[in-house]
Amino acid sequence: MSPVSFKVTSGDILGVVGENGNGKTTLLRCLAGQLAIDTGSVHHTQIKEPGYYAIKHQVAFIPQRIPRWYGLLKDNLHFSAAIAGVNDEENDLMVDFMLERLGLGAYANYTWNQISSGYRTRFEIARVLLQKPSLLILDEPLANLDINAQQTILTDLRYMAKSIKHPMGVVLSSQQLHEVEKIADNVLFIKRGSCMFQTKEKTETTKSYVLELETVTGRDDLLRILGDNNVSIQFNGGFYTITSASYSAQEILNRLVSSQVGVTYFRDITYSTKRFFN
Amino acid sequence: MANKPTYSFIKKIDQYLLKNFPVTWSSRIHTAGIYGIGFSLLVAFLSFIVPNDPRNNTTIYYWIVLLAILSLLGFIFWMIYLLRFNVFKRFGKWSSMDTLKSFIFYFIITLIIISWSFIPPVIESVRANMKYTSEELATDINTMNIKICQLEQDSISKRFERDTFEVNNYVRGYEKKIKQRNETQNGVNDYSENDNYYLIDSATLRNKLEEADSVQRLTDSIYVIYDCPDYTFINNYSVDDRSKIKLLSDMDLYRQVLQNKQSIDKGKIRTELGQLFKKYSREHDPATLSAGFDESYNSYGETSYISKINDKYDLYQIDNRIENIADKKYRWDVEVIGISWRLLYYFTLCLSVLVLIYRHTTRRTFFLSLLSAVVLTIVTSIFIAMGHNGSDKSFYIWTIAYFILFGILSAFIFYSRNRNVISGIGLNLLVFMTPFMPHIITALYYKALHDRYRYQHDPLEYAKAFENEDYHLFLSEIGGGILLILLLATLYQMAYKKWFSLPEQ
Repeated sequence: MSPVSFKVTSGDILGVVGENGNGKTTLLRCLAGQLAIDTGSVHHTQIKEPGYYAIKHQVAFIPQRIPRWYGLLKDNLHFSAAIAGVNDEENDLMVDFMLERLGLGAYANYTWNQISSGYRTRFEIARVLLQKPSLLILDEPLANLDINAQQTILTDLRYMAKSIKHPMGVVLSSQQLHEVEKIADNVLFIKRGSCMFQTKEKTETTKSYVLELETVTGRDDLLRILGDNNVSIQFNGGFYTITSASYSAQEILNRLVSSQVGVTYFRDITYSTKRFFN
Repeated sequence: MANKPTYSFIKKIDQYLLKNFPVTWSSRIHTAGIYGIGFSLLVAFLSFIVPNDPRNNTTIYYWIVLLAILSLLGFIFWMIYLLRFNVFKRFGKWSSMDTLKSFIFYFIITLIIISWSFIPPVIESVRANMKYTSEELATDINTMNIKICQLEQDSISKRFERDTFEVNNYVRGYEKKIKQRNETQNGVNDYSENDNYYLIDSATLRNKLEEADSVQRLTDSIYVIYDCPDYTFINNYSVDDRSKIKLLSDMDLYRQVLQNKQSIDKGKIRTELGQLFKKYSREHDPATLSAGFDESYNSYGETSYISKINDKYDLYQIDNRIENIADKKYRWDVEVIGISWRLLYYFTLCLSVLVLIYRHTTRRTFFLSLLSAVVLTIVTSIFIAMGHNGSDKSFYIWTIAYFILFGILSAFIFYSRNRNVISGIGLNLLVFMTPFMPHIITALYYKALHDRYRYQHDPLEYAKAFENEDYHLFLSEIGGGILLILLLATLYQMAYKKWFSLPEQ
């Protein structure tokens, strides 16, 4: 990987996006202390005791392929809470709370084989949350979830990150760009091992406006309607990506509507990392 | 239904430990302990109720094999449970004493599982001890020998073997030298031409005089030593060693019965002897005395009277029965228990250390460590075999060298930035070797001392140098265990914590 510099504070959510095989998981594993970095450093400012054991105790990592667990789901949660020092009645309370919060109550006495991959992801999140990490790292957590579950998990992650009692930083990688961008305070776009863009910095936003459009109108008609030499239109398998240096997204939409162009999908991706996917 | 409260009780303990003591819970000491001890009690109960006659040949080895297989299955079953939860590998709260605590739990569970095979032999011993006391056996053996001698007094040989010894301090040990009657020194000729005549040093003579049944001193330097014939038709050294009543020797029997011919009531003695034989015979054994006596035994040849009497009374069977009883009774006596304890201790120690290593390292590193140990053992054996001084000493030196090497490899863990397989293997093998090192170093020390004293002929100085050898070797065995415990609580737990948490390469 090339040098990349960013900061995650308690309560922040950092999204990491990029095409497959460009270094997202490597970056997350370096953050989690699973892979050694050749140069540079990762500072865990909240960890008093230096050392990787303490880091790994404080930093929870949920890999894309969730490792198999054995026994009952509830016992695993009790165990996770106990190894974090949550004992006795508090252990019961925390586990019940987490089961309820992640919708796992009905599955408490189920085993690995008895629950779907989506619920396994939920279980894994519940498990690591019970360990009260100061940083939660999730590699493609939305991959196995249906659309409703994705929304639920993302909303929950947002609440959990901002929790007053135990705020934590969250880093997640995903291909669900728009969903991640909705909840993330900062999004890193990784390409060929380099950080191409951070939404927080918005360094390139002033140069041009970019939007996605789905319509039955042809490319030539769209160019004629927009009538500007600074507009470029690309067709990306089902929708158009329109880039304009002079018109904002709102102005482009106004022109299309006034020209009676039927628009079935429209999204302003000027500040989204989506613009880098092509 | 009867098991429901028990199950509920175990479940309660399980939940309590799960929520409060995850390190203890994940070792499964509560379930493995309860079920393991329960199974031990069941084995003990079965060993008590199965028919087992102490007089019979032992069938305990079948039990041992069966229970060893069950122990193996129990161990595998426990290992499967151990794979499920591991606080250390999950980077949970892990105090400096947790590694030691885990090891102690593994040791206890392994000990319980392995001890299953030891229960039937122990119970068999207890049953033999309950049925026969040592004094009872000694009395019966003496009685049987006396009665046999009484019944056979006319037929058995009373001729003592004799040898003549002449003290001559120019010979070392003794040297056989048959002389002719006419060459006898000092004109003494009171020995047969067929007797053996030895030149002997005074030290050897002293030993012979202590063991002699009878001695005739011919001159100051010539002794005739008599050896009593064998009259102990039934004998057992184990009984003799442990009983307060001593077994009668050949000489005792000679003096009590054979020296002067006794008038006896053969019928009565035969009946009494028959009852004793019955006591030490199995139900389906042929009645030893039922055939009655044949007076023709008077014609037995002198050289074969023992075997003939043995055959006549079937004494081999009786002797075998008493031997069986003694074997079972004295199986756990101080003289032999050391072997059993060591077998149990070292087997348990090795397995529990392996479990500890497995729980503190990656699967790949664990199996590579086993492979390395096997390869190094083979290579070292070849080196020792090919060397000129292939001996215990070479083995000790190689072992110490490996221990130092593994120590150096392990030390790199504290300076490493990523998890290195070689350091992991070094640490694993270092931990495994630790309990043996004090013993090996002590053994090497005494080996070197033995080499130094090889040409030392002063027995007092030699004895002084080695008077504490066994004690020191025993202490070093205990020291090995203590050293492992100390290092697990300090250095080793730190090394494992550091190594396992390091990033991968």
